[in-house]
Amino acid sequence: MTNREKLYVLVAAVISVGFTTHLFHSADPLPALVIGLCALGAGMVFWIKTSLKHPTDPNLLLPPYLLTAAVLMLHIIEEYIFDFGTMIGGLSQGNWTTEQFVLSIGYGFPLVWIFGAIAIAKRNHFGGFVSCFIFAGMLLGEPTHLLVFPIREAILHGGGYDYFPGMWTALAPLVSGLWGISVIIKDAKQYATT
Amino acid sequence: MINKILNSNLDDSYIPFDPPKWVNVVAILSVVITIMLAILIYFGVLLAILTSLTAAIAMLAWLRKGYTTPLSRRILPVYILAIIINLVQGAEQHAGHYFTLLGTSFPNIVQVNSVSSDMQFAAVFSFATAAIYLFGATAIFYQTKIGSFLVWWIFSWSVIFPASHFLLPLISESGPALLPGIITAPFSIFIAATGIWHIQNQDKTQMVPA
Repeated sequence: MTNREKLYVLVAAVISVGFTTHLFHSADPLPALVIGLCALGAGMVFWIKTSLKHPTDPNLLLPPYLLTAAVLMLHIIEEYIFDFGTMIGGLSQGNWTTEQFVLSIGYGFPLVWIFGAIAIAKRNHFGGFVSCFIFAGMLLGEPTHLLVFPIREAILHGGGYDYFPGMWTALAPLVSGLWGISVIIKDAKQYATT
Repeated sequence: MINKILNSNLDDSYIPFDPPKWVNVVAILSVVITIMLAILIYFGVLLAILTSLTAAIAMLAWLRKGYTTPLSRRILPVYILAIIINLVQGAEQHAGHYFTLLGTSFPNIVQVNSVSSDMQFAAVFSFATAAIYLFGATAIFYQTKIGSFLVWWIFSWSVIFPASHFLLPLISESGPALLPGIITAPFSIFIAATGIWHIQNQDKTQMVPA
């Protein structure tokens, strides 16, 4: 690993730990676990193992990345309209409000991943980190809207399996996300063989 | 400085929109799983089971025929006939209050969700599906993979759902012997069987261009 790559890994680690800590204190362990461990943690490992040394060809990566980012914004709209922030707060010991949800997931996160598109286009290492984070997050985090949140809600507050905010659009970004993961792996393998 | 930051490595060579083939399978699975859960939540376990069964059969049939090579667009007339019979059956069910009857007659085996009514049933199972199927007709015309999946879906559903009209009264003594939709059920099964026969024999019945 070159010094430049080490610097990028350090910056990415600081962002990951910082945001996970922020989530842990404001929203409780559940979102911290989903976004911190699944999206950021697994994303970092995936990035270091694949595109850190050789950022993925933007001609291949940008289509699935931009599609995923767009569908993710639609998913956030559903979460926002149906009050995901408060519902998550009700599932945990945290006191996440709609306002906090809007600021962190509605504005903060999208700014990072939209900026990530420029980094991908410029074949910058940061683009590799953001793309791996987003794709890993889609693969590991989004199914929780169907498999974890509604079941935990039913266990805690009674009633059967029911709608949880974000449920209808949760699997949509997974489709282009998996395409993105396959692009990164394929490009990394090609680089390794040359 | 700004120019240096914003100057990308992108060029203007032609790049087709060409995701891997398996993305179609993932896309269909994600949509179908979401739809099944929505049906479970809003229409109860029976319709969710019927939809899941339809999805499983349609997926397996599609992977066997239609996934690698799209189905012939010559299936369109039978497919459109299946949409029509689906709507006619919906009308029969709506007139006979099918969904309300399900909830009241088969409470132990159906568990219909109380938030939905005949109106919602008609909106989803007749109107929304008709719209999706008609979009599907366009997809079939252009011989897309998703279009081929919808062909298998509509024919599977047109057998499974009408068949449930005959099976449900057999497993419950409290419900009516004739469920609304039973008159059109045999026609629906016949059209689906015709469609499946056409797909199975599409290679043999291929028209030779003049």
